[in-house]
Amino acid sequence: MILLALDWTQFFGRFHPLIIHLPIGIIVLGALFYWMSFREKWSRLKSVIAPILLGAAITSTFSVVFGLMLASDGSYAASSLTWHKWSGIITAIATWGSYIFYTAESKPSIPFKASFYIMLVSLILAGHKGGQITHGKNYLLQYAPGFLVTLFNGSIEDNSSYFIAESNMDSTEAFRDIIKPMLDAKCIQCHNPDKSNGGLVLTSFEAILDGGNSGEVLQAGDVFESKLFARTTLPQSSSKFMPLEGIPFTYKEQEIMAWWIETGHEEFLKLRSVEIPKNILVLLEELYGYSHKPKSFVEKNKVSPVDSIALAAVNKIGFHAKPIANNTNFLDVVVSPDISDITAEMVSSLAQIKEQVAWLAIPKRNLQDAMLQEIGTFTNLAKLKIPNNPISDQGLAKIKNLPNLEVLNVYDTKITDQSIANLESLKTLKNLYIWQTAITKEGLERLQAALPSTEIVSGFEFASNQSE
Amino acid sequence: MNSSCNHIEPINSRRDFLRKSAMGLGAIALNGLITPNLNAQIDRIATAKRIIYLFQSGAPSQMDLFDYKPTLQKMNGSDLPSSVLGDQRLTGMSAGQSSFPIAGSHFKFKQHGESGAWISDLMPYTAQIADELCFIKSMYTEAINHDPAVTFVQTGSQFPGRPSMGSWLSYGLGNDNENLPSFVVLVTKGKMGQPLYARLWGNGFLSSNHQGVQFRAGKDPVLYLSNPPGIDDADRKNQLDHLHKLRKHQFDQNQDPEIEARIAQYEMAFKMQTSVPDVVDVTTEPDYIFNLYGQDSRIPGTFAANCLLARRLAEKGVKFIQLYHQGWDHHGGLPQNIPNQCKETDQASAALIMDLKQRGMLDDTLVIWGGEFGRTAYSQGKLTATTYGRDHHPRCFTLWMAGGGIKKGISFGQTDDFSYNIASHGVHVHDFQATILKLFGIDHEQLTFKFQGRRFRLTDVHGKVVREIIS
Repeated sequence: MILLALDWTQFFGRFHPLIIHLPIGIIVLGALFYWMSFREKWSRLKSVIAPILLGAAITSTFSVVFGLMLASDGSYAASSLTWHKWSGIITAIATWGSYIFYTAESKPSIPFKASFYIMLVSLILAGHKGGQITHGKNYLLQYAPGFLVTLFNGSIEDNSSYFIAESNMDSTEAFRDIIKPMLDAKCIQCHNPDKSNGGLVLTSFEAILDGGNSGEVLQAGDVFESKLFARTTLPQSSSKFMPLEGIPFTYKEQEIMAWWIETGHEEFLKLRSVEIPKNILVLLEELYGYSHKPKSFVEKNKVSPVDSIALAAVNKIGFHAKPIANNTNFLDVVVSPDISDITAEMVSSLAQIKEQVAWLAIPKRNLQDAMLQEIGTFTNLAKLKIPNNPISDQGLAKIKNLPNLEVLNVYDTKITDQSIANLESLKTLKNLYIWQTAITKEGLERLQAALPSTEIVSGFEFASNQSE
Repeated sequence: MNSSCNHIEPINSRRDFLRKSAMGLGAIALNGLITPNLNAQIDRIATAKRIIYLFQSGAPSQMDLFDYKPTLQKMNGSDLPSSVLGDQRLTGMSAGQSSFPIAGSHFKFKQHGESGAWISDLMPYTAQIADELCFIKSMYTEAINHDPAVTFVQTGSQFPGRPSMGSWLSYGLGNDNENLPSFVVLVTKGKMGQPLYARLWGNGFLSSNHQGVQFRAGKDPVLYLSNPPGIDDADRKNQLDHLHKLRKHQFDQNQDPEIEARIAQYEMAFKMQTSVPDVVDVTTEPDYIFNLYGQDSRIPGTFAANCLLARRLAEKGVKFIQLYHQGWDHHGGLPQNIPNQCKETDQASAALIMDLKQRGMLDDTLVIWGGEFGRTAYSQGKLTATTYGRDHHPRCFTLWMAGGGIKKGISFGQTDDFSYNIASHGVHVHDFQATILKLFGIDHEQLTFKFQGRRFRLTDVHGKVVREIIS
């Protein structure tokens, strides 16, 4: 008999996500009607509450049974199921309790009220935990405003974009920086320690090597024997095609994955240590913005979202502060054209969001040495443009410890050769603008020798003035 | 509820009101705090914040300036091989010629800078800054006549009526300085040549506050900006406030967005009463700056003066500064006429680059120098020992870019030995536009505006970012 050979447990188990919505809806309806029935106008609803609760009790029992069946094949880790399972069971029991106590008494009794509210609370908990299993822990609050996130204390891991942690190819590792982000984006929702579909976990290199229920998924040098690659390149209509949901691996991602497997799928493969075929290099650049030049500070670092109230205050007091791009929380801050002289108060206001300020421009606003004290604590500053201001060597000394400064524009300021030692300490500088300062030619040479990879711009004249 | 073709959505029922306020309020509150007036998604960290486009109207001859072709000089006078000529479309001005004699350039070329860029003797100042520039030698377009070609470069369509590039950027990125328009146009004064029209910097179907504002040369760069005698700022403000109330009243009745645009423009005009005289006042510029840009820069309305003005506008945060310099349309007498055009533009263009650089502005200011198409390798009209002319040639031309995240000291793309066909890496006008938007962090496929039932883009349905020239 064919029917006996079927796995009935899993057949019914898979109905769990479908049927689960019935008790949720019915219980909410029952609660609504129960509260409404207190009003004279709606009192006739009292007569339908019992049948509704009975319906809820029956469907929630089925949900629990199907849920237990679904869990029985072990592809969900017990640890993540505990809360969902027990809150679901409590919901079903409390629903039965509500029904029984409601029909037993003519007026709502204490036992009824107790089981009724237990039912509601456990329903919310079970629903939430179930959602986390299906959609992942970050799903609900991924796009929530920053204050909500901090309120629930869930620091949200951002998997949404491939942002490379390391600055350039020299320090980039194939697995950590390229393959893992790919898997994180497309696979780990179902292949994580909590929910290891097919017994496969793809969250760490060791786990990938372990493979799944049907053996290893990587065969060095043989992409088509490597299931990690082969399953993602099947026809999309195939039932074995991965990922089951969401956007499949793109051609570019497949190519890069194939290249990694062919070279032997090493965990710590440094990109610089191997000869990468040109087509892969192109893909790496397109997909990850890799180029042979180092990434800027803003591109390789992350920061928590800015406090929107502080941001609004900064914009109100006379700055234009806005995110540098969609995929970063760093801010580009420019002083408003309506401000003629900057004040210490404005700078202190800016200090509230200093963690996010990466680019700052305050040109020609009578910026004083004293105000640089505060700016010198903006450790995430990568570009600082403060030309045409009465800044002296004392002022410059206050920003000499900015650890990530890449661009410093202090043209037309009062700095002299005394600032050279301080400028030399800015080792991360890529561009320095010192036109119209009192820095001498000798000073410039010394500075250039100390900062050999910094482009120092100190003014320009045409070689031969050929004008009439 | 259907919106009318003018995007007018009257609020005419309680349901509409509730729907709009429910969906709108949350979004407004959030957006207002985080991203003020952005219609563009900034997907990539922008390397350009503003652009100065030195448009050379009339189409400069690429093989007399930047695209060095010794073959042309060697084969001077012989007929352009039909394998090169192909069956390309020619203009009516030269299609009927009995022969197509190759015209080698009369000007000497040398390599300049560490990058070894070939530049002719006509551009001695540009030659000195060759290492700052990125030459695209394989530009091509589809239009063969001036008006459609300029319109194509500026708006992405040969047909008039689409928004200009500056309007798109203003629409997409908003305004960095609320006291000045985000799109300013400067036209060299007193030049003859192919006509320019205000629609080249028009807003098309975008809101009219995104249109380019042309500054005139001389005392009144924007006409009627100063108050008439007897009216002071307070009176004017009072008057505008009342006008504003009237318009608001009208707007409440029919919700025409053009009324809001008009209110915004009157606001802008009022602010410009103080901001414009300040920004165009070049008397504060020191002598060495005038020397850098050349003595022409002391005369208002010249290309050099406009370059200097462009720098001042860029310093104030104007996003798109469009210069036009006419007179490059050398159908005849090219060797006699082109030197003067170069003299008018060479030094100031190079000076602008270096002035931006020494002020630390070149890294986020994109500068573009180029025309609407190229010119033919063969002579239009009779080729003599002393003179030749060149007809319109859309199949290849050269332009250069600098700053704003463009690689410096490179040449991109190649033409064949006759500078007649593209040999490698052709860059279509749409590719060029897509690349510019990319530098501003915008995906050219995402910056759209829905009009007449369709979403329009600057690049229409084309365009490929030229990644190779982005640093």
